[in-house]
Amino acid sequence: MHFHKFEKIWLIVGSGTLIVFLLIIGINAFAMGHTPPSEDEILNPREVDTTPPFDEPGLKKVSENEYELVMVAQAFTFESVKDLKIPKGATVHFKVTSKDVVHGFQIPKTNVNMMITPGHVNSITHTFDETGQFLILCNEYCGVGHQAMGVPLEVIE
Amino acid sequence: MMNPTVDRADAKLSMAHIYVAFAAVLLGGIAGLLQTLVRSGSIQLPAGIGYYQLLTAHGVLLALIFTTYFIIGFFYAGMSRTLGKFYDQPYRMGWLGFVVMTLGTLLTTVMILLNEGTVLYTFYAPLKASPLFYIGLTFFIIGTWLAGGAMCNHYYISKKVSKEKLSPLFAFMAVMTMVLWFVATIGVAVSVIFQFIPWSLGWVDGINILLSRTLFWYFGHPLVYFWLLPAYVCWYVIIPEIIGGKIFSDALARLSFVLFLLFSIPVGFHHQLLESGISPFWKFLQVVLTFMVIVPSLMTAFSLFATFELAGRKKGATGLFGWFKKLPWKDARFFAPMVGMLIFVPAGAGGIINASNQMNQIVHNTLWVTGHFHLTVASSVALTFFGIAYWLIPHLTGRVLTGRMHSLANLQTILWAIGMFFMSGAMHTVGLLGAPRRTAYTTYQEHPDALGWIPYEVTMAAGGSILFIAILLLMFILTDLAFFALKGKEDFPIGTVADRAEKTPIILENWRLWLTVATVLILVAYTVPVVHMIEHAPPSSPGFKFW
Amino acid sequence: MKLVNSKTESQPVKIEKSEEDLKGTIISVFMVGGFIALSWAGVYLLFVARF
Ligand code: HEM
Ligand SMILES: [Cu+2]
Ligand SMILES: [Cu+2]
Repeated sequence: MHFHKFEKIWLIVGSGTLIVFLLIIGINAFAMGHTPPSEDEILNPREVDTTPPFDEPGLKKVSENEYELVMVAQAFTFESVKDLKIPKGATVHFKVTSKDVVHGFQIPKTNVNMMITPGHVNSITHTFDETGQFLILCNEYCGVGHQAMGVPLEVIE
Repeated sequence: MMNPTVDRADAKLSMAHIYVAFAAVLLGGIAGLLQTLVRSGSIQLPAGIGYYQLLTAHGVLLALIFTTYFIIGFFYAGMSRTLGKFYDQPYRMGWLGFVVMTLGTLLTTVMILLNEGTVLYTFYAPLKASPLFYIGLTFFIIGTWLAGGAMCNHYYISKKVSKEKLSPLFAFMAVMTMVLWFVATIGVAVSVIFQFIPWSLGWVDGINILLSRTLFWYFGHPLVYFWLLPAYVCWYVIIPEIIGGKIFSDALARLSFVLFLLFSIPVGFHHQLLESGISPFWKFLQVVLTFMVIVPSLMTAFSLFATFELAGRKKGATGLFGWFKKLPWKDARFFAPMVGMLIFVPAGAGGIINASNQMNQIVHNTLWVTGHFHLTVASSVALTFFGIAYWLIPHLTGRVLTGRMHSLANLQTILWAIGMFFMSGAMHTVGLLGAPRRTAYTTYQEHPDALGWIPYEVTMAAGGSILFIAILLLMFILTDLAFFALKGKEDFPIGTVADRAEKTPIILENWRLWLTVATVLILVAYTVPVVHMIEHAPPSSPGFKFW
Repeated sequence: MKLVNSKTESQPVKIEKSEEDLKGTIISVFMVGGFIALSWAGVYLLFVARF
């Protein structure tokens, strides 16, 4: 098929740019460990309350400056501990499942953003380098109270 | 056989669809305005109506009803124009399709109004609507299949009769779009018929959520191309004639549509990038395929600019951009789609960002996404459809688009662009700051982050109000064109191919070949992850009605 | 108001050996491409900065 010379240039440069985009995100994902949250662990969505670790949601210290935060999403809250306080510089592994419908899990101003589907666990890690007020919110419609589904998280000195 | 005007009977069939389409725009627009007012905290809905009920209605009316009815009405008219009057069998099938689609539409709409289907237009399980909500959707889909069947049938008979190897470009593109629709809707139909309906009727007590989401998005991405391709038909086939130019290349136009069929389906995971149960490898594979579907749009951009430049130069334009001034800016048939094309530049850029694997974590389910598709479908596509309606409605009703209506229509386009600039611009920005989409007014107990979003939400409401005025103006123009405008003859513009363009290779019209390649790509992209979803499925989920 | 009519002028098209002059076209598409690349880079940098 015949292409105008300029169209050839455009398509080569354009496709080349797309390949560069793919290389950048491919390397960032697979070589630097930033693949999107894709946990493969499953559980019975009707027995979340009796399935570890979700039978005891909360913040657990794993090692120096490293925590695991286990949460159960349900309409219309995130079950864990009352006052979420995390020391500055700590790395937190969020581990979340849902007891009922699909929820979202997002912390504005960070890259923390994942879907919580019932029957599945999802997890994501973030290091909080700055002190301040953060907010964990549900970003997937889950019912009439969806807009109320958020809990504060504070990063302290 | 080319017909200068659409046959009278075919015109009725086409107009029936167009009426429904624009009734949906009016109702959906009212919902949209109210949403922006609620979200910014400006008003509270009168008792009984919920924000999410409104949002469900808005999504269904605009994303499903308006688009699908308009597309089908436009295609009937264009096929009648380029292939000749519909033969009896496809004609009857067309009306049957209209009736079935409309029954489904009414059923689903009533369920939404009764608050029995407040599950948004994506109806994610395990939120469980009334069975009638899903049954209505099924009827709607079956109706569209009948419509697609009518078009394919008419195309097939016409091709037999004419003995031409190559069909008219319009008809080819229309059939390609409907074939894409067939392949795509299989996914959602399987999910609704085999998963949702038995579950909502209580015949089974659980549902495989991940599988239902995957089947939905197998359909959901080609859905957006189903909206876009008819706009491309206008840009490729109709705009060149309106601006006094030629179609840059018939072969390249067909090639781009073939590529859309191949690459717009095996890419649904780019809507599921952040969910469990799908491995990063398969997500990335579909991201790569998603990037392939950008290539035909790059081709389209080039063809369109080339059409403009050549038309301008023929009219005596000189210099690098002299042709730009030679475009018929005052012609509403050109202006509305042209503004749509220009808006497609930021729209496309946003789409590439959304699809970029882990970068999706920045934007997923934030208002950025809502801002994005108000540029794509609610501006590029919608303005193009409005631009088509300005000549198509008078053509079908035997009236003319007068100079005064051209000016009003151009004002409509300008208002739309301004309103969208504010609404979509604010949505994009506040989305990057983290404001979630599909969320009623909230401050999360006066959280400082959420308080910071309010000025943007007020800007959205300002933009939404301008858009609503634009919708009222649109209704005025279209009512006039359908019922009151001067009687006469309005052209149905169909472009001709540039003399220098090369002959179109017949292989581009080899349906069996392209469907086979499309199937192979779908199987490659989906087999392994779907088998995993079924074999490694958690116990199924019961339904919930949380509204 | 006079509207531009699609069928006004139809000058004979000159048949040349060389390709059409599409300089304006290629510059336009590259402006589009540049806009896309810049927007993408912006969000990518935001992504990297937010880790
Ligand atoms: C008057 C014009 C319009 C206004 C004011 C408007 C406003 C809005 C608002 C505020 C939202 C929801 C934000 C949220 O997530 O909470 C929304 C969602 C949406 N709009 Fe529009 N819109 C308009 C026109 C359109 C048009 C013409 C289309 C399509 C052709 C469209 C398609 C959609 C879709 C598909 C959604 C998503 C629904 C969902 O998330 O379930 N809108 N719109
Ligand atoms: Cu929610
Ligand atoms: Cu998509």
